[in-house]
Amino acid sequence: MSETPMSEAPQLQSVDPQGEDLLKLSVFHLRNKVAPGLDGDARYNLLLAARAAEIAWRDRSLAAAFEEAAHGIARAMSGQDVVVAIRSGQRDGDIVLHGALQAMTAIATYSTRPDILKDKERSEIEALCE
Amino acid sequence: MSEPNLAALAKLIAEREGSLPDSALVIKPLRGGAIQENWLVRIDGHPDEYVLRTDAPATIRSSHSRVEEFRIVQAAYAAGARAPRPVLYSEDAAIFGKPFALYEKAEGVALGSRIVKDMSLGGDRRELTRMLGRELAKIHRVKPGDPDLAFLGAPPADPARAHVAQLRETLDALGARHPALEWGLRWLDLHLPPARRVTLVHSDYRTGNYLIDKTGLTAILDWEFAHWDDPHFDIAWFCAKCWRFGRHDLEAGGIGPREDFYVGYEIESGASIDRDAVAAYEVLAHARWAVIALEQGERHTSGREPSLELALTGRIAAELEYEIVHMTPPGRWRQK
Repeated sequence: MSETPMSEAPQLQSVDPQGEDLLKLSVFHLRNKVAPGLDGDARYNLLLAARAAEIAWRDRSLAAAFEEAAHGIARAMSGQDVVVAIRSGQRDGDIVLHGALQAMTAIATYSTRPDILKDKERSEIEALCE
Repeated sequence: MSEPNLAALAKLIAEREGSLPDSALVIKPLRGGAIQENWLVRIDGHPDEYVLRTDAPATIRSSHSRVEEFRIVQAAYAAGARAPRPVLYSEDAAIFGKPFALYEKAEGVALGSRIVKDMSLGGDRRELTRMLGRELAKIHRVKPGDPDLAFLGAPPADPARAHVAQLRETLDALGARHPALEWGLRWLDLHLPPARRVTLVHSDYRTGNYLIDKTGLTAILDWEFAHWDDPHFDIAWFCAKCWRFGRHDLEAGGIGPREDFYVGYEIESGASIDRDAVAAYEVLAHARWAVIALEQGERHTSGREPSLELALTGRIAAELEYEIVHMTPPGRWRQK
């Protein structure tokens, strides 16, 4: 679990923060204002909660990109059931499907572990965040 | 859990360990272990400490019971592997409310994220890496046919294909549709090599599941998934990128060079490691960890064991699928 505190308060999008902005602010508050005063199980559980909130905000900001990536897989399958087709070997080494899977898994990974993406992938996905 | 009968537990320990001081037994819960509960058992005024293990409220399909785990540790310990010394197993519900196993407590640090960073631990890291290779080879000395391990069943005729079938079965049982995982499993179906030999494998042999102190390795932990398999399964699990805790420059568990680990293993076992087989088994390592993560997440979503930690473990599958897709590009598929 990442324990790296944010160095600066998040830049908020409006004068009356809502939804995603409040989630970002909560994560900042938990990590920078609350966690330093805790240790042991209390600190661990608080950081878990901060991590969950962080993933939730990324999920939310990438909802449209997720949907588009899912459509990309559906287009690559041309109406075939993806699990059945892959298991039966109908898509072995398929370049189009592989590209669609790369796009989907990169977006899903951005939600949970953006640090492990390649720089180019990360910046491309950041451009998709709403 | 009802109150444990400490007097009965003390009597049982004394029967197995010889005379112990006639003083109070103290137990307290230990952290760690999502699949079982661990308790520290201490006797006032006595240096020996023990770890008592019982099942957690919910477990996952592929883990062994505590008695099976105890038999596995006994076999590995007898083979010379640095497993915690097994002391006793009891099904007497009057003592702890449920079956439990007791082991001598080993000292040290297991936390993977600390081990890869804290160079004051483990002694010489290259020697530690070779030692971990040697210890794995000792575990692999245990061969099918041991009557105490009959519960493990007959070794699969084709372990590689059995893995793919079992992971698909688990995905189906979970109702999980993960195209990237399916892609990886299909690649494995075509590319995992047939086993040249089958041994006991630890099955979760990785940084985070062994203890080290200032001088080196003290114990190998968490034997609950051990089974008969191709030894490359364990070698790849140890070296897989998902178990390096961010130290990708140190391919053997984030602690040392891969070749050091291989040298330790090959000297101790007298067997050569097939590098291509390890590479294929590393894809399996990611697929397997992804399915386990989904199983852990399901323990939460099923309502059996509501837990934020389990819920977040389920989300780890995403990054593992990302790695699987990158390890299996179209150019790495065998031509039909």
